[in-house]
Amino acid sequence: MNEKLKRYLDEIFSPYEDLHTVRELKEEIYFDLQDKLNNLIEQGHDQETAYRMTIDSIGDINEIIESISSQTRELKQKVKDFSALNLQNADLNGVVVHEGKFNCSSLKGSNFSGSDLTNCSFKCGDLYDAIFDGANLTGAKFNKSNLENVSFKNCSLNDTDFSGSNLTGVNFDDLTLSGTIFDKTNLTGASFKNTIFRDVTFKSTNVRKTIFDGTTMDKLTYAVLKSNKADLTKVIVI
Amino acid sequence: MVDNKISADLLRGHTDTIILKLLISGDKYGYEISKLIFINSNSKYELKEATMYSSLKRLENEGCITSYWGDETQGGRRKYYKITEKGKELYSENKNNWDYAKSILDILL
Repeated sequence: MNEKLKRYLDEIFSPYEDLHTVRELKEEIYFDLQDKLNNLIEQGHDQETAYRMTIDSIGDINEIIESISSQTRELKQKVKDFSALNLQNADLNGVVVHEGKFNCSSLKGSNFSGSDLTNCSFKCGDLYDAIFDGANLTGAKFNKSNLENVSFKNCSLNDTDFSGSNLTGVNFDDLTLSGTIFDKTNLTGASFKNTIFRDVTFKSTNVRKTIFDGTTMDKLTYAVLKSNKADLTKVIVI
Repeated sequence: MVDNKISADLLRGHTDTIILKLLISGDKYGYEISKLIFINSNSKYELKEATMYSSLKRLENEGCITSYWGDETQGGRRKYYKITEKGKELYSENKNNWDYAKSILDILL
């Protein structure tokens, strides 16, 4: 294993890491280049020169990304309505679907890691245990859905609407939430540790057992949560 | 080595056909393809990896080739490419077009 070569590829592919197809391609290129590197060393080049020659031969990485992303774009255009489907435990890693509909669908345990689901709607669905790590959920709507135990690590949740959903035990730690709507949700056992709120709303929300340790919020949000009987002893008010 | 930009661009335009031809004689993995292009051109043409992989992905997407991961008995994991019937047809078509264009250019230039 050549660590230096691996690090170099990690770096040039880092902006595209969230695409499943790119990850697989990176693996393929890594093994091929490793072969090339060994070959150059066998031909008598020293380590450093062989490494230089190898990475110089890669060329413009954007060329490859374009040929792949045109495939994901096709997916985006073809299918937009996934409503009332049974997608339990489906692997939807890295999909790009804008304004798609997943209404009334069973998405229990499905995996949307690294996907781009801007403005999609997930109304009245069952998403228990689903994974959205690193997904872009800007403007998405999760109304009246079961989102218990869903994972939203490193997600973009700006203007995401969770109105009327069950968010029991969901972890929103370390995120920056802007314009996110939590009206009429159940946030029992949910956690917002070190989360930053900007224009986030909590009308008629159940926050009695929600964790707000180190959460940053404005005075208005503080007042609303206070009247909903949240424990706000460790928040930061700005 | 081809340093002249125009010659390199001319050659790059035929990457898909060059790769298809190499796959007709048997399944190959990425580095094998780039190595053969370098050797077969008498060390005059070295295809950039980015150009080769984008060509492979495009051909795969169009159904001209398929790919599979090989076993790991020879050290690293390798992804092999196999030409399909559609790919063979595309190769003959491109080759004929090139022969035709070449015959005209040979007269005109």
